[in-house]
Amino acid sequence: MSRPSDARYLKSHEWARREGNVVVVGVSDFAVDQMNKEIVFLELPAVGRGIAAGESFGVIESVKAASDLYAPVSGKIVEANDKASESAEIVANDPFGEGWLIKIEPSHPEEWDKLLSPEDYQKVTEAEESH
Amino acid sequence: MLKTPFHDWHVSHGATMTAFNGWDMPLYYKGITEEHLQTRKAAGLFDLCHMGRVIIRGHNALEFTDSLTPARMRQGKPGDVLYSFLLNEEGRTLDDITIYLASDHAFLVINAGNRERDVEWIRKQAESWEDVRIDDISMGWAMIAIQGPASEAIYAEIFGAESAPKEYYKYFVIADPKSEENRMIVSTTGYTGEKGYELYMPRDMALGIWDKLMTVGQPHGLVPVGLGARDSLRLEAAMPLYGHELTEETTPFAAGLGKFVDLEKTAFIGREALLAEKEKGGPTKRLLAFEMEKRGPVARQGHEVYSTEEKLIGTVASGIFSPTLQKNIGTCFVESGAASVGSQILLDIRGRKHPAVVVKKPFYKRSY
Repeated sequence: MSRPSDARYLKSHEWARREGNVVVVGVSDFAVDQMNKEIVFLELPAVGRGIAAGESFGVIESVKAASDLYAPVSGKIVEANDKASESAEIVANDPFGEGWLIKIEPSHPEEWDKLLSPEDYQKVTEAEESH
Repeated sequence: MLKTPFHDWHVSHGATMTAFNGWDMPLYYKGITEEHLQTRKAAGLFDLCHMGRVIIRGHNALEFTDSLTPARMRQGKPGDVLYSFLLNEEGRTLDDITIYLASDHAFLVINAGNRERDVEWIRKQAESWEDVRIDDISMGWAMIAIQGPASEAIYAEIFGAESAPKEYYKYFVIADPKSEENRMIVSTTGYTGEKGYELYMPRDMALGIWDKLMTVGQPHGLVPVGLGARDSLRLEAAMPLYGHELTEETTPFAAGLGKFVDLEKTAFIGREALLAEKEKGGPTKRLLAFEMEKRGPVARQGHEVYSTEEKLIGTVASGIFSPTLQKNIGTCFVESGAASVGSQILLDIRGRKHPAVVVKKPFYKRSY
């Protein structure tokens, strides 16, 4: 799967993309592949809640284990993808599109520049794969 | 890392490998859920070489095995497989094992994670016995399981139906008249809740048999199955996994496995402690099975269990999203009397309490 070039990433495999005045957040294809696309549960936060960069906003669970989901930027959660939490297969099959997770109205726009570029994220995944 | 004779086969068939008790083992090939469902529907093939295999020989081998384990050895006869335990003096579980009874020796299958400790323990117990020999043949022998409704037909096509026992928990030895070394043990045992066999053979014969099973089995729907689905299959069948339902802190009675303990035997390690526990009214904690009606997070080992009055009553032992039932299921140790079949309980998953109901074991029972 090719990764969108306009997205930024976290080492913990979340992606972020700017859409107008909100930041859309999801998990990467790498994260989904690590779970062998066998996602059994997805927990997303309530809309309206404030969140800090690096804070957990939800949980994604594979057959084998549960993992926290981390916010790439601080701000207010303005939307959560109910379709994804109802059927997590959407996330497995289209993590960068239909399978987005939440939208954040950022409070500290400068945080965007601290996120990993697609090239840097590529290095992170290559290093993990070679383990 | 230790490698089984099928290691290269797993890798070349796309398995995702995982370290398991010192062995490099397949976690899954295509996917845990798919392998699980295919074993229920047709058949699955399992590499179990990581399991420990020990032979107890010598003039006093059977008497020694009888004193070592709480198994009902007196009712057993050659060709029987007995499910049993290694217990310490406190009656707590060091391992769960199977005993293959022969007329002059016993063959024990033990868990990979406990192998070294078990062998040391068995040897220590044997020190005070005359003419008892303990041979750890784990490395020289291989172990394969074929499980599922199609396993009988696949086995029969290769080895002939009459070469395997019909009854559950029996075994045959298939001898090669041309070679003393070439023997295969076939038992009607397993860890999935399906019918099937476990096969044991010298390591150098193993890959040939694996290939043959795959070739003949494929048209019947046979797929290789990794450790991921091995765990979900056994939990649906409510079979215990050491480290979860059985631990060094719990007795077989706490795990609901008292029927495998022969308290009428005059002597075995742990007997006095188990009798004392029984006199005091039984174990203080008991293993229960639960189901969660609503689709939600999976309760996993260590999560706390509460009564509906929010009193802490226990901890989760195992939990999965059940591929067959399509709901979250699991087992938990709960204070004796605090809950029973039909009780509502609450499971604390990452700080939030989720309702569950105590159900009868097993979760899944085969219909053939």
